[in-house]
Amino acid sequence: MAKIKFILNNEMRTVDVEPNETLLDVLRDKMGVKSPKCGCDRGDCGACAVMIDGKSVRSCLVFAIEVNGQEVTTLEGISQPKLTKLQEAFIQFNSFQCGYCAPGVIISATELLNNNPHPDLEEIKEALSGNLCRCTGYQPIFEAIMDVSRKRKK
Amino acid sequence: MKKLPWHINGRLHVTGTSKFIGEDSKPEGLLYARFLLSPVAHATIIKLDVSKALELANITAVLTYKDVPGVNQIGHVIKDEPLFPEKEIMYAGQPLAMVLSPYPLVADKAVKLIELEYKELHPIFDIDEADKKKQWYIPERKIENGKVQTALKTAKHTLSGVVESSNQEHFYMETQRCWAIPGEDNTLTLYSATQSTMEVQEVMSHVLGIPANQIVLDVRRLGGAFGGKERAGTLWACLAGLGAFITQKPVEVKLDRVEDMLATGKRHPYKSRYKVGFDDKGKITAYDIELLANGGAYADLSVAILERAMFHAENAYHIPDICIRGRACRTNLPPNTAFRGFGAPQGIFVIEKVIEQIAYELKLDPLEVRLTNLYKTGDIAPYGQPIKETNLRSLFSRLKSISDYDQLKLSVDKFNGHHETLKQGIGIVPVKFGISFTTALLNQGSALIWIYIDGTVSVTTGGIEMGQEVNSKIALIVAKVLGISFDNIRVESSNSQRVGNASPTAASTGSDINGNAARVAAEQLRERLVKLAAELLSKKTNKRLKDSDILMADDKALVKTNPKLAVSFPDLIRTAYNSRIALGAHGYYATPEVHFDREKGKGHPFAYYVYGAALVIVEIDTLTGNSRLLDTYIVHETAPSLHDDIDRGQIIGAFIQSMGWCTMEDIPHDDKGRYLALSPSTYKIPGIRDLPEKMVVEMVQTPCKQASVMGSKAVGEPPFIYGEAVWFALQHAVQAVGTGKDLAQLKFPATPEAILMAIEMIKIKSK
Ligand code: FES
Ligand code: FES
Repeated sequence: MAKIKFILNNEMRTVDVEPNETLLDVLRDKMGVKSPKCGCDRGDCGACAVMIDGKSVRSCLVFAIEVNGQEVTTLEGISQPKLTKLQEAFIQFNSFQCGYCAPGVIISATELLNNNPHPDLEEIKEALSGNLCRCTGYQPIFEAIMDVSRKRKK
Repeated sequence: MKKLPWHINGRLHVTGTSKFIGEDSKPEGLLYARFLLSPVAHATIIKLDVSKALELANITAVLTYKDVPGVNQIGHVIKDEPLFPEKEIMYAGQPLAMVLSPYPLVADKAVKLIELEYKELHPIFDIDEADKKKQWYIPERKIENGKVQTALKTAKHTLSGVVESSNQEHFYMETQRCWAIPGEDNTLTLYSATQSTMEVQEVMSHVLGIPANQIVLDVRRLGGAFGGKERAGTLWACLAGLGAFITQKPVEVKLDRVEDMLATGKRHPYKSRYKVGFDDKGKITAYDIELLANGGAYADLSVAILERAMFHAENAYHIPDICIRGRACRTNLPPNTAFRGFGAPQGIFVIEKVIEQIAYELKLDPLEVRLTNLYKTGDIAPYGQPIKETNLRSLFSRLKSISDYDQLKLSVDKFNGHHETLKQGIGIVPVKFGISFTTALLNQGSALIWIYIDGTVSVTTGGIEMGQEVNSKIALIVAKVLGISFDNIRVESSNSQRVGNASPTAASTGSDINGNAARVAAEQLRERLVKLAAELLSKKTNKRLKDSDILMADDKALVKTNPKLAVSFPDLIRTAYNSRIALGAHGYYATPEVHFDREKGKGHPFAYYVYGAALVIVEIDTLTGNSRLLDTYIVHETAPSLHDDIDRGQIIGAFIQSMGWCTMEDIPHDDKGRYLALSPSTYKIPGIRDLPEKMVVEMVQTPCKQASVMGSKAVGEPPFIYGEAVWFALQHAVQAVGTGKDLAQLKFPATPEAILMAIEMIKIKSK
């Protein structure tokens, strides 16, 4: 067991972890943060995405011990203090059905919009190509992101 | 127009706060289940010794068939499936023993200590072999109309052939799982990933040998299901229940993705043989079709699925002389199971391929052949149900006009003439989809509504929310009936204590059945409230108001002729409570007029049909076999939709999922019957890159006489058929490579390899 310390959703937290525990498991099972979901546990579906120092990563591929001293943001953190324009758009476009993929999709799309305020079609597809959704056929997810991109001031 | 409210769980989903199964605070003392899964498809068990596993520290229990207190049987309609096999292993991935420990890693270790010895038996994977050996769950089924053999003899032209379609993994994002929590007096509460609370309750009560009223099912939402949790969830729920019952501790069963893909059944592969007779115009005069389903190790829902495949064997076409035979065959694969469309996509694929074949033989436009054969109002389906109203023809004209079909054909021909390595193709598929469970007794449902003292409302139905947004629709219906705002309504988890004996949420009937039950309950409440409002408001005017003078709208009860004269909904509820008027109601709904005689193959199995048609254009690269979906046009009849966005979401989601089935999803197995593609890296489902460049979805909302709740039509499965258009478009693109002497032989699914192979074959033949 090792004690690690990191900023989780704007709050300094400490937790004891085994060296082989993934960040996904530690967040979900030890820290009560349930938004990152397990869809495959091997880096292929994107459901477990979180941000480490502003960059999206698959938390099932990261050992918890590696985030010592870093800043981790999950969807819970993004939703504070209020919903982002992107989240509002996802609600308005009815972008999700079962919702299981939503946390990962929103992390990927948030990272995209942080780095690129006006992504085009190709850039959106590129940014979301690692997020699987079995319900929606992606169209309403795509439309919501396009809408945010369009409405932002140039 | 006022925008409809969003998804009832939209805000929860986008903030990551919607809770899925097993995401509540962990119950004290939770045990984790790990399984010994069979490494082979077919074998006799010689030894299954768990003693070494039990000796390991921190192992609470290791359970096998010997520990089942009731009957070791989870088959529902056909009782052929043990919870754990006693002697004979029937498929690779079959659970043989379950280890329980508070520490999952210790449980993993213990599984490796279980000693298993077995003698392998000959496994059957192939449909033909199973059929030859008469491995049928039930004897052949038949639906017949007219005299097909005579009609084939007198037909101007005939053709025959074999058509195959392959399996498909559900790939619900949330894998199979269940929490089972023991309570006082031998009760059990299960939070199970199931579409079917009644089935789990009933089967589990037999397995544990306790009455059904000791078992509570509670399902808040599923992270996708698509049929894969209609029946296939029962096994895992019963295992969790057994563990909790024996140890008297809470148990979590949760498959990882690899286990889920290995051990659970898929969409049924079908192999079908047909003979067809037709005239010079392509009008089909006779169709003799035999559908063979690869059902896997146990009957599961294979027979019902076969029945739906047979009901859809003629799709949207009227064929006067027809004989449809079906056999579902037992093989040594995990029990194949329900998957969106429930056999209809497989049956429809055959007739659509036949249509294409006919068009090719007669050198006609396949669209014309389709039009020639379309059902008209007044026709009768092979099983005797009259087609009371159909607008197939106008849907087709609409499709032609929005896609600018004539121009499109020219431009595709031109493109193909100008390009050596790139080829385009157009594919078209209509659908006529029957709505209702074909097992008539399942077409019933209940709802329970409470109006609380502050005027907020709680609704429970048997409907399982799994992304299809049945809960949003139910809330809309109740809001409309009571004239209150959507935001004041909660739709609760589906819970067997609040709504018992719930039919599975399946067959696209979720909103029809549960929505109607909720409507009935809400109408009872409205009646009571209107009566009270009439009394109250009469006092404010000097006229004696009748019930029919009152309108419930805008969170008020008001006088129609004088809307200012009103009482607010919360005030009305408070007064109702004070006047001792019941503020709870139970609603029950049974779909009228559905029946089917299986012996005779005749009846009226469906409440109504859903119609639509799709057209797609694809482009292939003949050097790599890669393909691209260019434009998609869908004209789909929803009748007046309860919620446009929700229905549109279902149409697009189903189309893309089906495109996956037809073009990329393929899960082969090895000679031990072990599935080989066990993660999304090897099993490819559509990603955002696979979206078409242009997607036009037109919902036809004209009111229909034959429809369901509040005039709407079911939407979950029918649009799945549209994905088949992609396969036919790819076949046309491959066809454009050759000289047209032979019809392209494209395999299913049309993966890049399959496309390349078809191109090679057509090149050789064209030489
Ligand atoms: S669970 Fe991490 S990528 Fe799938
Ligand atoms: S909404 Fe169900 S997986 Fe995306």
